[in-house]
Amino acid sequence: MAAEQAGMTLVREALSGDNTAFEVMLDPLLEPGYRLACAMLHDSSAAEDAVQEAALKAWRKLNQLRDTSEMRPWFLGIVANECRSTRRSRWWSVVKATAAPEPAVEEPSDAVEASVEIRRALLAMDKGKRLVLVLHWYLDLPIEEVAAVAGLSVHAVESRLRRGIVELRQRLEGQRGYRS
Amino acid sequence: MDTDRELRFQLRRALDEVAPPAPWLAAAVKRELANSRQQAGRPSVPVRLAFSLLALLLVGAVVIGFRAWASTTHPVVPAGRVSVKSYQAMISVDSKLFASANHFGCSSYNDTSCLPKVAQADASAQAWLDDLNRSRPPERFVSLDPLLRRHLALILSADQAFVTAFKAKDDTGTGAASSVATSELGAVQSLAADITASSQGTVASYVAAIAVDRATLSGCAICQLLVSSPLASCQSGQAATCATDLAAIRARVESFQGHLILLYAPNSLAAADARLQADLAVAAQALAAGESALAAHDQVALQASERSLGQALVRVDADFASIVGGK
Repeated sequence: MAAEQAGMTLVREALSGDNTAFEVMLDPLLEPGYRLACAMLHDSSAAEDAVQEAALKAWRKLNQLRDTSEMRPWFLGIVANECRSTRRSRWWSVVKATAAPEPAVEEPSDAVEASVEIRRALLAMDKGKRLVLVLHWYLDLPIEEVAAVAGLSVHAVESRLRRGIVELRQRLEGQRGYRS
Repeated sequence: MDTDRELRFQLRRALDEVAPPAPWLAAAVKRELANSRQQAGRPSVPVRLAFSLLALLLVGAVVIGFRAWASTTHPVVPAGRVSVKSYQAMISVDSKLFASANHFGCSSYNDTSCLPKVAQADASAQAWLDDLNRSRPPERFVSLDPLLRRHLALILSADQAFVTAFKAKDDTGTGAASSVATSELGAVQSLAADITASSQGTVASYVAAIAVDRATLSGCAICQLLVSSPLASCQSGQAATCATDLAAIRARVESFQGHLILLYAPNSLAAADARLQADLAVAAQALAAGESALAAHDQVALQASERSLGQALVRVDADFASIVGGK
């Protein structure tokens, strides 16, 4: 209760223009926000940009925040939106033929290869399923908070999570089967 | 098949690998927020709407004005060495116009809007290069200025290759050129962001930031191999793998250089930072020389640049040790 009151005091102070109060609220969220963006974009520079943009948007939309217990899902939701709108600049969709790669000098270890396969499989999934998997399995957010970030019901998150795990397995099996 | 627990563990490990620590992020966010607050307070919603409209009009006016200027030879950017703020403002405007001109896609060889869009993107790259050529960068940005020019020039040549391949309907050529351009675009945008958000670090934040970049170099197997011997891929004539290896090292070296500007050294570490920057600049030059030698099939020059690169990386390590030991 005391923590909630302190949190609301911070929100009020931030809304009344106290910049330090906003930064105090935001500080613990930057690291999870950055990890979420890295996991969604697989590009740490783009992730840094997404978090910076999200921080600016959070500051501009602070009056939408009702209490500080919502701060984490609210901010992560903004980061997720930023990741959604981030599109690689320039694209060329016609290319089908690629030159055969030269043989690698060293074979990558199994662990490295497994990591590459997982990232490839994740990137191939639709963004909604990827987001739910990343929030719950990577950032350890409880299902209720995942629902708040993704703007879904708890039931929809559970269903999307199940389908996401199945799809991840299928994609990995496909990749491994193709390779062997 | 893996259990859920095993799969989750593998997923965490895989994602941790693409989320390197970013100790400078909190400082960069605070700085962005401070800049944003300076530009506009927190006015009421109707006033904000009015400001948004005004901003839209202003942006339109700036774009039209910039295009009009770009079509003439009138130098807007002052000649000679410019101040840090002017240089940052110039990079900020150029990078925004550049990003806007490069936000497009080509879906097929029948897409008649494709080549005009490439030409427009090239005009923005050329306008940026012209601005850089008209002014001398302030001391703080001297190390990044040549990198920006190089990447912009590479985009222009990749686009030229793209146009040729597009006209010939050559899938491999368009794919290769497009991939080079995309990678160079990323490098340009990253350097521009480092310049525009540059702020001075404390001893603790600066040391923490360089420790991350140094760890990235130490953890790079090919970078470590180079210290004692030439790269096998470059020795054995595997040109594509050699190019990939050099590009991988270049990305790490440039990222290190960029971060030294994003969070620049506190005054007490300025001399040590200058040594570190100088050695990274030598590494970057050696990489550029290596890439040129590879393109020219000049094996002797390639080996010389690899030696120079290896020696520079050893000195970078020593510079880091001296900063950490002497802080």
